[in-house]
Amino acid sequence: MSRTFRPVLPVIALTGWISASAQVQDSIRHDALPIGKLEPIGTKKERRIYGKDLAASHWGAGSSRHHLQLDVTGLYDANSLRNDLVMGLYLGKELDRAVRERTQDALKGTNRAGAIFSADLSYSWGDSLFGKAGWQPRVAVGYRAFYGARFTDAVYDLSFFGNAAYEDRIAELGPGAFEGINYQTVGFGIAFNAEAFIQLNLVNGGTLNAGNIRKADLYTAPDGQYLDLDLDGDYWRSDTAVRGFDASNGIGASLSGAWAHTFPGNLRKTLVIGVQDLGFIHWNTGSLAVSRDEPIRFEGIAVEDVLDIDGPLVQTENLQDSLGLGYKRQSFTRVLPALLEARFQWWNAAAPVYEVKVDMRYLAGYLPHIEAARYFRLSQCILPEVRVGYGGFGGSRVGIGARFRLGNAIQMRLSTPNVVGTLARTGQGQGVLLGLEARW
Amino acid sequence: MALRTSTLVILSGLLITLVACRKESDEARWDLEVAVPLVSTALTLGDIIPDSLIMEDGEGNLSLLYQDRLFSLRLDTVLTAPDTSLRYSYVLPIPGPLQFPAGTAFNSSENITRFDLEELEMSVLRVRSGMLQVEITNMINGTILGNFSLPGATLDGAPLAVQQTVPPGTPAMPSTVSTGRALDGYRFDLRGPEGDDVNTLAMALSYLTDPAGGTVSISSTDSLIAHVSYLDIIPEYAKGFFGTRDITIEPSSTSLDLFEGISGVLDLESVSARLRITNGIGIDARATIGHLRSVNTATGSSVEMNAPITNGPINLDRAIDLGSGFQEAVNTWTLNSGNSNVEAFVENLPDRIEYALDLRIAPLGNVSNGNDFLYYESRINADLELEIPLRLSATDLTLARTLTVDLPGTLQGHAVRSGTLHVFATNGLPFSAGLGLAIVDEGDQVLLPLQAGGTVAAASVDGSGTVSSSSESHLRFLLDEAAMDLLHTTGRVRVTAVFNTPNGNEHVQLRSDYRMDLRLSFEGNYLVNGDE
Repeated sequence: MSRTFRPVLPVIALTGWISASAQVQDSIRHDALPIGKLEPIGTKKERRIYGKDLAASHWGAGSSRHHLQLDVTGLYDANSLRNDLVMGLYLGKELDRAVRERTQDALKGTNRAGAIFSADLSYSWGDSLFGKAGWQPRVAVGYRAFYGARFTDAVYDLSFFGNAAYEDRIAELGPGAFEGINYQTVGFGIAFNAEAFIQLNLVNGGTLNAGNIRKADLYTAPDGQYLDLDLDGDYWRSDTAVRGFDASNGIGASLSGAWAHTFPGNLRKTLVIGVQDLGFIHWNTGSLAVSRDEPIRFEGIAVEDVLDIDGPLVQTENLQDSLGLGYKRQSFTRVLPALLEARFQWWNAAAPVYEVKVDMRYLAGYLPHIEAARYFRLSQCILPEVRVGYGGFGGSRVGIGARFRLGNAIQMRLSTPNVVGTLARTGQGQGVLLGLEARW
Repeated sequence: MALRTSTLVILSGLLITLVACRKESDEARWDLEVAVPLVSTALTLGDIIPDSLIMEDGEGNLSLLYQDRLFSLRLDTVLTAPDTSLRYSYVLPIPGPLQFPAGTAFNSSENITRFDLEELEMSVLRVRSGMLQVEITNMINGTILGNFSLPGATLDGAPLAVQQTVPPGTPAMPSTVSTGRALDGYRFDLRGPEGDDVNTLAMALSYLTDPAGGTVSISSTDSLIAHVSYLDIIPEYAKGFFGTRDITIEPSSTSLDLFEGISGVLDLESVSARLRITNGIGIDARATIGHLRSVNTATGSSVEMNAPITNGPINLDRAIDLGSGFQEAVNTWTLNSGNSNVEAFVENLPDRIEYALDLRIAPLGNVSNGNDFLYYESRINADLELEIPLRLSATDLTLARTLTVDLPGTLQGHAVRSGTLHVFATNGLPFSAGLGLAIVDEGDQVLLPLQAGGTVAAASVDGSGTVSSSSESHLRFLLDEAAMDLLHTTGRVRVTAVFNTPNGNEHVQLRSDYRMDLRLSFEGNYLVNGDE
């Protein structure tokens, strides 16, 4: 029996790690930036209530001589895949039919799913740079792992129920796309008066597995006599011989930065615009790329001698020849899954009260993501928040979180962008965000 | 910066929580109902019969040409050179003693050596390998120089000579010196000093008192004894007359893999066979074939060849001596339906050919006047060639092969759980093929035949027996869970194809462009990540 049949697309998208998930869209947060000399500008009553200690707190902290920031952000989300299915995939469980059918019932025609992990450590310091007061040198290192997919209902059906139900029918497996990528960055830049920063990153490409399917109509002949695939798509893959955390299969560069603007007035308003990893990786010559726009008929692995079928069945080249897929080893350049973000906040005293945010990541399955937040100030040390959002990899989401001030120098953030998904087994999407910031 | 203990505790707790969410096993599992093509292939005659055995004429008609060696006879028993040892003694013919000054030569003698080679009368012998051993025993009280030479034994034109210095000895305590010399490549002229003899080699032996020594006193009690031995002689070439000899080739057999795994009734329109005996020795020979028999060990049937070559002796011409080698004499006898029962011989589908024969060399004596020859490489080879035009009729002609299938997974865990194996055939061969699959054990005993199987219909043939159009057939083989488990246990499948030509005994011509296209697909239950 051939071992060649294997559902690929959703597995690639879904079996990525999802454990340490958190919310990436907050990776450029107002408080992740030195956003200026923000004075507590609330009313006199507010100042009386919260006291002068809040003025010094860093809910809206100004510039500091040293600023060390760690952000571990991540997210798994999907607009149709149920968590019990995804967790079953990740944990290596038996996926019974009921679990698979529950997700099947939730399919939406165009389905999206993805997982993001991003860890950044940055440090800026000093009083001036190049003779400019308020400028600080900035260094940063980062690790990214992204998985994203956009797929049709038929892809799910074939992957989790097989193609027998599609005998003598066409399964529309496209349009769709998927991308799994990980890379590391080392960045050097400048922070400007705690209001903006710009950073140039050197990027080391780890692994890449990506495809873009414009059309893929699969016809299964009765009894599986043959498969007809009308395929129009592209596929890229990094060298699989070099793997692991320290793998280097490509090199590139990217730009990250942010800019914050405070609008004058009694009720302070701030606008933060940021970009992360706007750049590229040039994958090396060990990589593979294939582009096809043609019908493919697969009648089984072509064997010369019917009486010697056990030998060549599992040979990759034989299978590729039978499928008409001749991968070509070549180098190529692909843009990074960059993130663009804009955030608008209304402040009361030294802490934000409302926030509206829009972001977009250049990754398969990711839609423009809009989010609105309301902050509740419980004390000088705890700032809870409630968020509602739509887009990204998922649909409508409600999230909660809180920021904690630990002493005079440290702030921590812990939140989930998806309360229902995180707590409910049959929900969709899960996430936890962790941020840690120190200023002194 | 002052990190508080509480901060570290919170961070540690979060990390532990994240890391604790680990996989229980490697990969999730779920089952699929799949319908997938497995293999596409074409069955041609080349898959059944090796391409090297198939011949095609200008019109695409196929014939089968098969050659098998019955025997290869090396006549090393005809030409053997036994180890030979000769003794040459010198004693002073008078009581003496006599004084021999330094450097005095004595007993210079020329002699001949005659080898006892029984019936062989050799005039020339070229040695492939062998050894000459010369041993001289000295009982004289003075150093003696011994010179031994064979003028008739040359290597690149130089005669063979051995010199030895033998220390003084006494009758009570003789001294002995022995010298060996490889004879590889030496040519021995065995015609003797006069050039008109056989098995005779000229020899010279002389002694000399040591020119650097003093006067030597020799009496009649002193002696010199030389032993000359010819050991382990293997001839490279020999010429002469080797006698009339009878060689019996005991009943023997050779395997024939042409029809391996095939049974049933095969009716051939015509067959021709050639018995080719090549004679690499320079001697006439005569062979008498005791029997030449086609044996089918599976059915137990045998067919005796009945042809002129089996009814009386056949003469084998001699090879030609080219000086540095030889040219074989090829003796060929053709057997066909007109002069033999070769059709029945082949249609028996033999897996063994049994034979026995007697061989007489030089049956007419020394007719070459001593110019028979043998090379070390000389052989008498017998080959049987079968030429079978593939115009035939088949009745339940059965081809069976056992395939070892290396399935992924184990008995305990395999992805393919159960289903149906579909076989789609487009048959362009002029015979039907009943296909059967069975799981067999190591001894090829059927453990489970796979149902339902069926027959691939024959292609349509016209009045001349040529295929006019292909046929389409669809066969199914059920693979339930028990069958899959059994298949993983043995890993062996026996494929049986029973061929029948469409119109009984009417012969059909097989052509090079005939083929049966086969596509195999699987429809059934597949467990993702189920292979362990």
